Amino acid sequence: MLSKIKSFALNGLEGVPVEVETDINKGMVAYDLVGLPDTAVKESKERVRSAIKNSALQFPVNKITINLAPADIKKEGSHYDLPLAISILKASGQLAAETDNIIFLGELALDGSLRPVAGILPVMISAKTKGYTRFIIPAANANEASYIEGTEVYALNSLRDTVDFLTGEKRFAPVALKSFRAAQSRQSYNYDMSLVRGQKVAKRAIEIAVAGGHNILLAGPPGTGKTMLARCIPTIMPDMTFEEALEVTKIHSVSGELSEDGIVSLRPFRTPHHTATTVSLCGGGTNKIRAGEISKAHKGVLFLDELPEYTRSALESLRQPLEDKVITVTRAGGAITFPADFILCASMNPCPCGNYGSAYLTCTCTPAQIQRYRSKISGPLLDRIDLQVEVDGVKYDDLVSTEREEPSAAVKERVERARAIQRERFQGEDMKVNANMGEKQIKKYCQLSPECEGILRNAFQTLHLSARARSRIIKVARTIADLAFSENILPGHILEAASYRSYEASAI
Amino acid sequence: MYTDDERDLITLAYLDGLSYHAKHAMLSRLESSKPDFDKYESILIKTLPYGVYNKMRAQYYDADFRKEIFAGLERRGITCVTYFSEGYPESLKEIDTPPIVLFCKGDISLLKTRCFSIVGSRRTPPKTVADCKKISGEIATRFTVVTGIAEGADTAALEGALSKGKAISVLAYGFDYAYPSVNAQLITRAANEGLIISEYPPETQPKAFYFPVRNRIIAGLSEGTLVVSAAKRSGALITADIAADCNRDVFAFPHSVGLTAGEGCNSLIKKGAYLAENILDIFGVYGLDFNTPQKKPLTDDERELYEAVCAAGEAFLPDLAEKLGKQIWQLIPVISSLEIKNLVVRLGGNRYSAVK
Repeated sequence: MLSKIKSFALNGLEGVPVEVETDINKGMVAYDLVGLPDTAVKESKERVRSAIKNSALQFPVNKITINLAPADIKKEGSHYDLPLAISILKASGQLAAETDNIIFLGELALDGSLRPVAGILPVMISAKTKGYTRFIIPAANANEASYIEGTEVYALNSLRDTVDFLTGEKRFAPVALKSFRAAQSRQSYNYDMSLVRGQKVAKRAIEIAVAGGHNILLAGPPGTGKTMLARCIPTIMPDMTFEEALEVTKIHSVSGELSEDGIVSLRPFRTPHHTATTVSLCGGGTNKIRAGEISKAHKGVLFLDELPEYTRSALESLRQPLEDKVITVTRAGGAITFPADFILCASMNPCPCGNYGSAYLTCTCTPAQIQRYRSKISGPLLDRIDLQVEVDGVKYDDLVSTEREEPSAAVKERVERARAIQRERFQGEDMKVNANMGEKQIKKYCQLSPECEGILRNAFQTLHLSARARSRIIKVARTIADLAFSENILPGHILEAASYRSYEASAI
Repeated sequence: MYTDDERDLITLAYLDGLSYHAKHAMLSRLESSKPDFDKYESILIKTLPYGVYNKMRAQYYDADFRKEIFAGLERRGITCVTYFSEGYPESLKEIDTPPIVLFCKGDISLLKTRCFSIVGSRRTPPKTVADCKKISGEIATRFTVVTGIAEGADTAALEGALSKGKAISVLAYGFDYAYPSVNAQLITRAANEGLIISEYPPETQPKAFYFPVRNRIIAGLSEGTLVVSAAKRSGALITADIAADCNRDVFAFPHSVGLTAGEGCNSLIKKGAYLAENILDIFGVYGLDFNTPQKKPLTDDERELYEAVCAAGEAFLPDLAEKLGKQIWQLIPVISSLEIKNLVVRLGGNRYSAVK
């Protein structure tokens, strides 16, 4: 007898329908699984056999042939266990229910219970667009599946439950639709701007960076709270919309990194260690192409602590995604595009010993050493970091002061207003924030008065700025003007923007 | 284009196996241009590594060797000024063991102008760098500024001088090399807009012990030497010592107590060097006057902040904001504007100091 069960394969973030066909014939006892299964799928044989047996059902003692169609794409992951088991049961005549329009996903334990799998959300989104609306998934994945409208999802605990549900012996309620707002209000950030003492200049720079979507470099002595400041960046970014949250959740779901809530409602903050490889940052892998850290930081913040310690190739690989906001990972097996729209926040010491510019400690580095340290970061990468700001050494008085610092919520309000101005400005353009402006948009939206032009010219001469700093300064000035509700860029805005270039022109 | 005397000296300068003391002795303390190989043979053959003396001697008399030297100089665009040349600066003849040849790139007439040298440490603090740059520009209105090419004080002096006048940079190695490599562009600029000189043939690699030796040329060329920064043991102090030995004036920036990069300067002042706080302290010694240029007009905000920075000496921007009762974002454009007008200098870590 022949049976056909529907499941899905994942290709990057895209789901592809897969049909599990099982045929049981008389003959030598055998179990043949074809259709490019990977090791995890091949091993499913043993799990499926035990799960069926331990669910008070019979594993057929015949020649079993299973085909995963289409036969030309690779099938990876453990979520084929459930469709395989159901398919075998149907083919052996133990299950006679209608399964045509149901998508099965789930890994089996030996006792027949269902284990959670990665990638439920992207599969459901793809399946829905292809017209499938009924799903049977492991109970532990219920939360993740509960945010998609117009679907009928049954989150079940075991193979036995699944069989009973299909035959109608037991009834289960479909997963209830959950509201995204509720999830959002449940989660909150562990950091807040009000917890950072002092650092007024750096806080201002961060506000500008978030308002205009600019990347930012924090330079300062060790132990001055650079990491703490960086962790505050998500707290002043506008709340994620549901569409953004789904996009982010898709990536985290595929990587199997979802929390209990099943949806990522807070902006991600990723801190890959400086030993991270290019592949771990950008995505890739030998068998399955996985999303890298830059994609996991999508719509959030990628924080690179101790920037010069990263390998050159890892840093250079960031250049293209910083520009395009997506990364296409190409391997022999095909190319997959992951989104990678993040704010890059990098931190570094001002010099190898860390004390350059400190008021209390003496720097012991020679200018050549400092130069060498800083030259580890290439010009093209620096070009994409619009704000470079110095973090002050912390004084003891700062730490114990009782002065009230501004909370993130207040900063966030200003940021949201500035973003609204930008949304209006870029209507009809494929960009949302000032940082994404190209030369053409700069010409169009950032007209400089002769006075501003004069200031900029002077700044270049006296501060030894490189020519490519120009568009960077203008873009930042545009954001500062937006924060001040100013239609035109005023001299003050240009001057402030010119001051956030500590990296390039500190006096050596 | 070169006289025979000059050719002999240039060839001798190329013999890298002989120390400059040996060369001086062989030239009978620069009485003659012909090295006396025979007279010192017995000593040199024993003191030099085996075979070096004979090789040097053979090279000196080798016509091909000479031909190659002059072809190489021409190819590189190097002019040589020897001890016996007309262009050789008289002031340099007053020092101990003056260089027998100066390899030059640039405007060699500068060697005959009034020179004043500025030296200092590579680890000069940012504030002193800014002060050095400023005073160097002012000195360059009347003198040719002489300095080295290292980072820190030398670079600041050179940049300051070239922006307002002329400068000579004295290298401690051959022109084929650029050390420190970050200053490669500056070396080219110094050669194009001023003059670079060295007593070493172009193929000579930089070596640590060439630098103190080179300092005698900096001191010797100049009427006075200004030490802008120096730790207790610093090459800049060697230059100052040589200058004092040759009866040249020594000036030093005063520094605050406890600053490592200022200890050498303060000890010079204790020993009797002129304390140079501004350009008038220097020009006064030479009977020169200096018209302070018109102050750039400042807005009220700028004046208020500038005065606060001056009062504080070394000012932390958030502290200034508190003192003036302003928000930090109101002050950032103003301090930036003062920086662009060269009135304050950024010390790092959001601290600023006024440039006087």
